[in-house]
Amino acid sequence: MGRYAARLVTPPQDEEIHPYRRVWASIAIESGVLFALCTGVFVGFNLIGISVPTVLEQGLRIVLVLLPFFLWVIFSLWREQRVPLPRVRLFAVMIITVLAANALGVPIVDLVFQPDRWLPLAPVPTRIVAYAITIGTLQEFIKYMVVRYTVWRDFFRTRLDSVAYTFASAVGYATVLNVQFVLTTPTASPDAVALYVFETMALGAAASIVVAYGMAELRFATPSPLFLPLTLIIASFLYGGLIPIRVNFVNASFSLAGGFPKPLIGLMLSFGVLIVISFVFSFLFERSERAAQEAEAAEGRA
Amino acid sequence: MMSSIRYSKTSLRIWSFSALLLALLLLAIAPTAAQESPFDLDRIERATVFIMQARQSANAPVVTCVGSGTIVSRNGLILTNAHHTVTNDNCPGTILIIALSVRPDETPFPLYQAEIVQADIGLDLALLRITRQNDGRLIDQASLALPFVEVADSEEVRLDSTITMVGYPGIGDEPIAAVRGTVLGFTGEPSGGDRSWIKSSVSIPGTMTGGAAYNQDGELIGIPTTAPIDRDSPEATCVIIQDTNADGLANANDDCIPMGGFLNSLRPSNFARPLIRAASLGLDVEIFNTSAIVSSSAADQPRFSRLFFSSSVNEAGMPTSVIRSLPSGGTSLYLFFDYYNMTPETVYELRVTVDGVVNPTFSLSPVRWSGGQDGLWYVGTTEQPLPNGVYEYTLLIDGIIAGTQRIVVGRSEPTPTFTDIVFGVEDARGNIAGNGYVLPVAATVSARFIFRNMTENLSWAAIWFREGEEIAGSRVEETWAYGTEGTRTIRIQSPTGLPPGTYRLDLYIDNRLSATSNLTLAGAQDGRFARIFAETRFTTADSAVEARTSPPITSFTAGTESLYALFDWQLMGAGTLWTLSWYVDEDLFFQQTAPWRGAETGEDFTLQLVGRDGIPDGTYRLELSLNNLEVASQSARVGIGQLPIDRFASATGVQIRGTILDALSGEGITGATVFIVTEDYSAADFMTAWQQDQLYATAVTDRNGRFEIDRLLEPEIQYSLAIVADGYVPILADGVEVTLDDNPVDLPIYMTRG
Amino acid sequence: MTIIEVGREETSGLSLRQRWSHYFAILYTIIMVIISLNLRDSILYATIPYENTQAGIRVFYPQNWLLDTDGDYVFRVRDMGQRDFKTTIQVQIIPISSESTVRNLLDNLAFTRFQVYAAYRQFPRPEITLADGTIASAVDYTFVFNNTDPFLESLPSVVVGQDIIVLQRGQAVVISYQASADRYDEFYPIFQNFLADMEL
Repeated sequence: MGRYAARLVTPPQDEEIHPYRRVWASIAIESGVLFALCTGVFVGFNLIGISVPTVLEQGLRIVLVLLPFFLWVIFSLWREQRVPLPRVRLFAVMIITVLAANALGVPIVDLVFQPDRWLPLAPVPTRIVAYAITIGTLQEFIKYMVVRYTVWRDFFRTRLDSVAYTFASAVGYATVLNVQFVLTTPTASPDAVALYVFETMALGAAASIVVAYGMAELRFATPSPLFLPLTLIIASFLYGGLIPIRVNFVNASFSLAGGFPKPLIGLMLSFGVLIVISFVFSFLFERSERAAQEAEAAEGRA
Repeated sequence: MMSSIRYSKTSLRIWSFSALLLALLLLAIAPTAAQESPFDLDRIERATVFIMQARQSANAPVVTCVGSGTIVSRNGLILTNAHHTVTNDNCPGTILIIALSVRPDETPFPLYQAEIVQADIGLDLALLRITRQNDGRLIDQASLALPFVEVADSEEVRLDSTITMVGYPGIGDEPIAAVRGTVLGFTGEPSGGDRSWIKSSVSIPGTMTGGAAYNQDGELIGIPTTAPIDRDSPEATCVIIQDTNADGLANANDDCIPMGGFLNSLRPSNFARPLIRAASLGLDVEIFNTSAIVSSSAADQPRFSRLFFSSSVNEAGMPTSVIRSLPSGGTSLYLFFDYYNMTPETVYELRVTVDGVVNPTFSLSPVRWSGGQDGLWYVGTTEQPLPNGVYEYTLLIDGIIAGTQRIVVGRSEPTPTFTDIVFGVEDARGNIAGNGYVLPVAATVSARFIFRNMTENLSWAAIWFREGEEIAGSRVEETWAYGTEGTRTIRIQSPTGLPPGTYRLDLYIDNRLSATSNLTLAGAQDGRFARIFAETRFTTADSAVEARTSPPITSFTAGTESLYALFDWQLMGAGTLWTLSWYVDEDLFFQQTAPWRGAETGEDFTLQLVGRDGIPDGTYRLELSLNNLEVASQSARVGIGQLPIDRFASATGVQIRGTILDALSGEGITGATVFIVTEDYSAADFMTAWQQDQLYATAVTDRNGRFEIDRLLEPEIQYSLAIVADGYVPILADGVEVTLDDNPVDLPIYMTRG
Repeated sequence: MTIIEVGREETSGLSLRQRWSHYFAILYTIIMVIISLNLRDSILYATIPYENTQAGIRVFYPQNWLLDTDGDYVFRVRDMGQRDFKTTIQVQIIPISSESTVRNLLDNLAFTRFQVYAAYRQFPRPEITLADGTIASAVDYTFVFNNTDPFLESLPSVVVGQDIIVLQRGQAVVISYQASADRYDEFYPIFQNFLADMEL
């Protein structure tokens, strides 16, 4: 107040003091940087044919695997501390998701669902449904449960808190999958790791945004009890269902020159899905928020 | 405007010139493209094997002989020489170990054991079948899918055409060698006519014997052949590689591996085709009247005598005349000689010098004897310009000189000659009738010959022989009084009739042999021809004895396991050379020439044709011949009367191989399966039905992700392809069409996890 | 857009709607897990009928296994997706005389396999009862399998097999199951289902 008094002027109308970190901006920056770096690695190693010593390559693989986490720490977690009203327990959500994914998600997929044992020869529609109800459902459910029992409801102060927390959870889950990938595929070239890391993160983030919408609505509005499960279903199909679709696009087509995959299609598909989901759900978030404000205003007038 | 028109004209000229240039360029390129050779050296090298004959010793097999061989069928038939595979004095081993190079630049590695399925000792050809792994385990023939080469018709080989000879030049210590050369000419022998040997422009090591020579289409046209001479001979080369007597030293006391010298003679592939045909169809011929065909073993030393030259050979394998010089421009020259006590294992050689310099083209490397025990033989050069000079022909038996004869090429002097002896039965008008060299047993036999440059008062003589012995009272010695040129007929007669057998007529001018020819008298007179074999028939029965009373059959049901062929014979003299041939769909698969050792007349000579898995459908023909002349023939049908098509017989096509890799890790995927679906089905059809009969070929990747389709893909056929592996999304493709321009095709294929 | 929610009231307990939403989310996941396990089993154990009236057999073999009836067997199916030895189920009919016993047949089988398979060993096992009540003899065995292509660097794999032998109508029906040692147990239920559904 004193500050304003000293200047003896009123603040401009279009300038606002924002007490929370801008979640959409963080996601956009993190995803954009991740996309740029991963694409750069792919172009450099796959298209230009850069080769580096084995030690450097190993280091690059580790950096790439942890890249989503580092970006999240820089653009989300660190920036969270720079705003007046930081979100708490973000790191906890991420860590608990890592533990849950490692303890439950990965083992259940590997030992119980075993999709690679029975799905490769199944028809595409079956593969879409099967991946959605196995890998997709399990992943989204674990992420939901972590957020649900860690921060929901009391730490949800705004609708966008939901996006921040589920995104943290998505980063955790994707990091586990990425680490598992490099551990089981130690010879993967950096370009392959880069694409895998980006696709896992992008699809995981897109699915998280969908669940975030359901959790936000449940926290701040009065949707049908089936609304949250519905967002879980959508997220499951978004993540799980997209796996076979992406693979079908990426899978090599045969010619007498050989059979080469089309990884760029997978990269663009994942990035496109993330952008579309982000735009659609940012619009839905905004609409819900506006509706809530209008309802409050109407209540006040009444 | 004018300048514009001028410009247009200039432009038109430039464009026209460019178009013309382009058209010329295309014309220049087009034939090149059309001449793309399907020669696939990689496949040929893979089909080449190293053969070690070994004998079992207490501790380990002892290698007794080595040579090369070539796989000629998918299920492991190997074409090679007999001398280093069939047990004999020089190569006493009984185990055949097959080694091959996994990569062309590597030495061979023993992988299999083989057995002899067909062999012709004299022609020095053997056909082996891979039957066991090297550890002694049996191999399922159906599971073998080895690279093989196709055998061409060697009659199609042309002079100066390019050939590639492939084999192992070392004794297992060197990788495969491929040597390119050209066809320089052909060497004739009675066993195979004018093309008994193909002569190559380059010589290759004798250890490559048994390998193969290929034409530009990559088809096998000949088998490089030389037989090592008897290891006791002073000229023999023998290599000691093992301590065979287990005295702790590998020295002169140990057994050695006999080696041949350098060779440039190829046994044409047509000699091998009957063996391959019989083996691939699983056919075997058993002769029950063995006493009638078994030759007596030669007790005395083999020898040659009466060496003379002739410029040509007639259809019965007889010299048309005896010459002492040859005019310039001649392209064929034959050395004739009598042989005695020869066996199929005897190694003989011809060394030819021209003006004192050894000429490898006209020479013949040491080779096995492909004739009988005694008789008249020739070896000669055909289809080859003979440069002027003094030719000295030296014959060797097991490395020891057995005869020498000289002739001058380039001298043309009209000398009195007798040529073209033809035998026959003379009719009332004095005409000679019959087929020339096989006549029915009669009281009188006539011989007609042509004479040239004769002058009055020249002394001449005619001497008749039977079974090598002069017929008493047959000699005619006269002074010539029949003109300068023309034909003359002489005859031999016996009031009691001439007995059946092999006769010879020698004609001399001034005590020098001028013409000679053999004649066979056999069978009863049937018009102008001899009726030797009769009642030739086929039947089926449980035993040979029962077959003699079974009714004749001309059409057998499909799947017949064996059939009998019988015939009667009359007036066959002892020692008469006769040939027994079996054909299926007019392709020869069995032939045997042997002197007759049975009774003069008899009934029910019995043969049995047996099929390993039943006799395949086809039209089978038995042919009996004497002196290259067919005297009896009989056919029978089995099943539909036509051989079934062998799906795996073709070695023409494109080899598909490659590596299947994980798209993420870049590592080879072990155990992935590649299916090639026949043109009748799509990949999706196959992935729905999963039926083996929809498949053209299958391959499974090794530990590096490498695969090889074990069957060649035919051009202009649209196949489908499916690749599956646990944990990966299948790769499917339809309309896969290969071209011979790109062979073999080596593919990197990346599979995506999912 | 900036939304400040500082003024929003905190609620102390979950509403019924929120509670049921959570329950439904859990229920959805449980149902999906059950469905996915069923779907997995329905795909893994899906079968296709095969009938050979001449040989008198009717079987249900696993879907997506390669069917081959062109060898010295009546029927053979292999899981070609396998990355090592292709798991195989095979039915072979061998004519026998009235004096032949299972022992004779087992000896013949062993003798043949000793000559064909590397490191072949046979282990007796108790008789088993098939679904139709037939008592069948059984034998376990093991051998080492290797790809026959000499130009490939294939590593041998240890294979475990089981033969079930039924003597009937003057012939012996030999039902064989072979899988790599690592996956023998994993695929054994498929073989058991095959036996259970087989009609001879």
